[in-house]
Amino acid sequence: MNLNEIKRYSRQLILPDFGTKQQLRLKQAKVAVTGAGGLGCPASTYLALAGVGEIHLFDFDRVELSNLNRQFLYTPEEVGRLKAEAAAERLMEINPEIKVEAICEKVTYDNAFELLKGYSAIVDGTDNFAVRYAVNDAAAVLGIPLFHGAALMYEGRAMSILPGETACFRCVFPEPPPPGMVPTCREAGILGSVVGLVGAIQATEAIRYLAGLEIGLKDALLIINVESMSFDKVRVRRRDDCTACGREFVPRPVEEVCAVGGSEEQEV
Amino acid sequence: MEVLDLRGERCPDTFVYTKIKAEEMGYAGGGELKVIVDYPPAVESIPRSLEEEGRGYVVREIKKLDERTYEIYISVPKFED
Repeated sequence: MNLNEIKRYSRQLILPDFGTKQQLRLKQAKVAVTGAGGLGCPASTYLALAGVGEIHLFDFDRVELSNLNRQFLYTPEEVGRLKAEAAAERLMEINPEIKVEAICEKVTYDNAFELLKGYSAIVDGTDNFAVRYAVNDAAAVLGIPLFHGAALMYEGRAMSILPGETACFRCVFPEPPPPGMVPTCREAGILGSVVGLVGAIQATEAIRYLAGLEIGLKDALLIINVESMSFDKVRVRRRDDCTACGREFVPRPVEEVCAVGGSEEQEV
Repeated sequence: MEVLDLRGERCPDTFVYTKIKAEEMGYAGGGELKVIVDYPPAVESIPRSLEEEGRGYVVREIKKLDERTYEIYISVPKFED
């Protein structure tokens, strides 16, 4: 660690159970963040601030004015820019000690298994079920820890998945909800601070995992409701017959589900 | 004996540098460390924080050099992890 890094990370280096070894583990990690939107902005920002050495941001979308109530890495001048590129630039300004790469490609069931190879962890910031299941199945097959998050209206969810050890997203939700049941945020609305909360939880879990510390959302789905400000941890279990992480892997691409249709939104 | 001169530093940075140096020594096999500080609250907080680390650091001696300056002598064990 150089002196800049020691100073920059000093307030986490003096944490109990954290130190030079844990910081070095973060520096050596290479994390994929799928979606540079409402969840991806806070999640990637905290990963960057903590000193995760390499972050790859996956997003094919462009900045829209309506993103700016929650996606704090972008400015109004950047409307129309590719999000992943704008976010990568901003994050490297925030922390010049790390490397952030933009991958402006749409993640699909067909390419996820190839695109997500070789990462230390994946932080999922998509709100599209097609991509979410693709990322889950790829993470399960590739054996990569996955930090799931979702937020809609006044509710947020998070869950940490260690392949071969804990329940995956498909163990808990074998099928996506039927069309019409899941409005994307275009229809449903979302408060920036709520996605911020969930993204920060995903990043915290990922950071602790990468540093070699115990994490709290294994086999557990955290359900946050900000109307009552309740945090409930629901116990979930691995399924032997899970087509992603059970006895036998069966590829099961999921159709894009959208209440109104036509939404290309890849992030919350 | 390794020497860490932290004159001019205040808390918690005094502990930041002490912890990093001690960890470096611990992973390299352990040894004796002398930390020099001129911020009196650090004289109490560094030994207490080191103890809370649970790493087996032993503060052998604290020497007062003048009104503000102190030397803290620490034994750093070899880390097994």
